[in-house]
Amino acid sequence: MADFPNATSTGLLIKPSQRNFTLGEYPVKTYRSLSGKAIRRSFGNKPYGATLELSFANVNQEILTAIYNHYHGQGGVTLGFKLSNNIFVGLSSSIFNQLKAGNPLADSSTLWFYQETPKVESVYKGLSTITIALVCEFAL
Amino acid sequence: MSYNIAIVQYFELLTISNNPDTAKNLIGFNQLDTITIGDEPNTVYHRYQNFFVNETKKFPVGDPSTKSEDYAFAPFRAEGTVNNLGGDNSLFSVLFPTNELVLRLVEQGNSNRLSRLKLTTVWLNANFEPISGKAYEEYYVGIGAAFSETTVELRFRSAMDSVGSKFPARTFTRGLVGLLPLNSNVSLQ
Repeated sequence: MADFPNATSTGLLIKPSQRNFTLGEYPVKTYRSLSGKAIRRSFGNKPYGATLELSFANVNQEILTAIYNHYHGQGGVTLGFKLSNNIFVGLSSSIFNQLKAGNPLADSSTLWFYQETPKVESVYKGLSTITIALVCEFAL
Repeated sequence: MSYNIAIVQYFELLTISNNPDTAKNLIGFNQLDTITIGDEPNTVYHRYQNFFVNETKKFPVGDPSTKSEDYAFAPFRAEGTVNNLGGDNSLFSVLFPTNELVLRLVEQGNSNRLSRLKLTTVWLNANFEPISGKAYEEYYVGIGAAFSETTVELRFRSAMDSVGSKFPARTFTRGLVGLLPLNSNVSLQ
């Protein structure tokens, strides 16, 4: 397991230009009876499946290579990893830690996984826009 | 209008190993005191719960005021049962995703044929604390396991045997029957 790269080998910081975070949901099943009354059954005490979409706009090939190598180093969607501090730069410490961990306790019980293959859009010679989608899962 | 239910299920699985060293090795492997040596030779208790993710919780064993044991988290699902009129042979299964933990459980109990399961279901309040008086215990014995590429199913049947028809037959005696008629005239009163 390798953490998401904080910077390239030459020290170029890898910061997203856009990020979309969706909170995880709690494991609950709902049964609604004919009378309209709903029964909610909880199956766990922690949320799961927070998602994070990151966009790295107009980055050079060095950053593209770093993300490309990280994706393959994780076996695609196979292995989980921790995110770097640069992903959530600009946030205050408490929410920063929660979002970085992907859970409200900000503990090490969760890991991030690639949800799908990264998408690379060639913008100009030597410049690309990379979009990656991540999902947070329990580390067991 | 809605109603919320939170239920934790935890089990204590007693496995019996043919190899006396296996039990000792398991104790050393486990850091959470959720695997402990059983009372009988070559037996090991495995204790797991399925609600508190990545947490080890204490739950009472028997009388709550006397003793409690640690239960580690395991992502299992318990499902069953099929009952017949006699009440025996209820089928029950515990489903696990395939991982190191469940493979150890299967191997320890000789493919889950030499194991005994005590499953407890407890209702939790809004703070996820056990509600007293809302716990149900079930006992099962292992009958095998089924595997697929992603899941392992531990199969059990109920430990209870029904009252069968093979008791010594009751025989009529003079004391039970009373005076027998001497002819075919029967007077109905």
